Amino acid sequence: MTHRIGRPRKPRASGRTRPRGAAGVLAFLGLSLGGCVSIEWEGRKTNLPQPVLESRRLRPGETTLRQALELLGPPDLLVQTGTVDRIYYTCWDSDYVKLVVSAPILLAARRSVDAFILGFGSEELRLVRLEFDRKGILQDLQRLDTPLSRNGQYVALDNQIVQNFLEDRERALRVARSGDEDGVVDRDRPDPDR
Amino acid sequence: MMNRIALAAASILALGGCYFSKKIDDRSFNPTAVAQIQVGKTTKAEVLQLLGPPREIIRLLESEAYMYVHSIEKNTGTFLLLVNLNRTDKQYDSVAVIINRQDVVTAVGSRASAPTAAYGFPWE
Repeated sequence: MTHRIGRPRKPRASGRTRPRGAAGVLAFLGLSLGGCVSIEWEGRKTNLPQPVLESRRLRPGETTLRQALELLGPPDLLVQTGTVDRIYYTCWDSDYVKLVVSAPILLAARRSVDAFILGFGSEELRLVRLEFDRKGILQDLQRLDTPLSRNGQYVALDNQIVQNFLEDRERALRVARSGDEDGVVDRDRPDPDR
Repeated sequence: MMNRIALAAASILALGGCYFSKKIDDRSFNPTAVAQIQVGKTTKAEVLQLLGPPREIIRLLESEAYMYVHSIEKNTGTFLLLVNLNRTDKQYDSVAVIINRQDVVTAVGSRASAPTAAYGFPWE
């Protein structure tokens, strides 16, 4: 009679659970390795916040365009609008985490359908808008220094200054593209991020 | 159990990947050339001689703004099976020169932030 030495063997798993678990693992690996399921964490930074912070030193009615440029540096956007020259300084940071499930069902067209099951993050736009009259004197100063969104919920998109900025940027890009005589003359190619 | 953990760790390391990329847009400009621009003295022709053609000329009420822009964008990505980490940092070197109707510089501003663009993780 022989005796086995060592750990007693565990009873084998039933024939149904092991294949099911293996199939689950295989399916998970297939989807994740195929890029169909992924967790993405994206961070983006554009520009530094110094000009926006330094703009506190400007005084409407006193500060000139020359002083503003010397203090804050070159603006990110300049437009002539009505009877004022409007300039913007921006600093844009965003941070997002999202679970992405995509179905590459249209391979021939090189397209896929994404279904965002979960996504959250924050977006922070620091922005200052300065308006100068014909003499180059600062007439108006508007500053936005609060988060645009927290955990995926936008809190300041209705803000007039943001809306004006987006409109002015679109206008500047449109004029630059067309080489319009009214405002921007494109010498090279416009940068859509600016 | 330990073997499985080791196998999972090895798989993540073997099947994962990462990338670094750098995109430079437009030429950089010489800071000493920018320092030579003097408000009230330097003319449009001298600005063009010092800095070359601008990227944009923006017409303002009583003047024109010559914009020189150079940017560096650094992208970092890490793929760990299911988890993708991406980070983009874009910073600019730029100069704005305001020139009046008499073709004389009335204001100038410059910034050199492009070298501060950095690789890193998304939470940085």
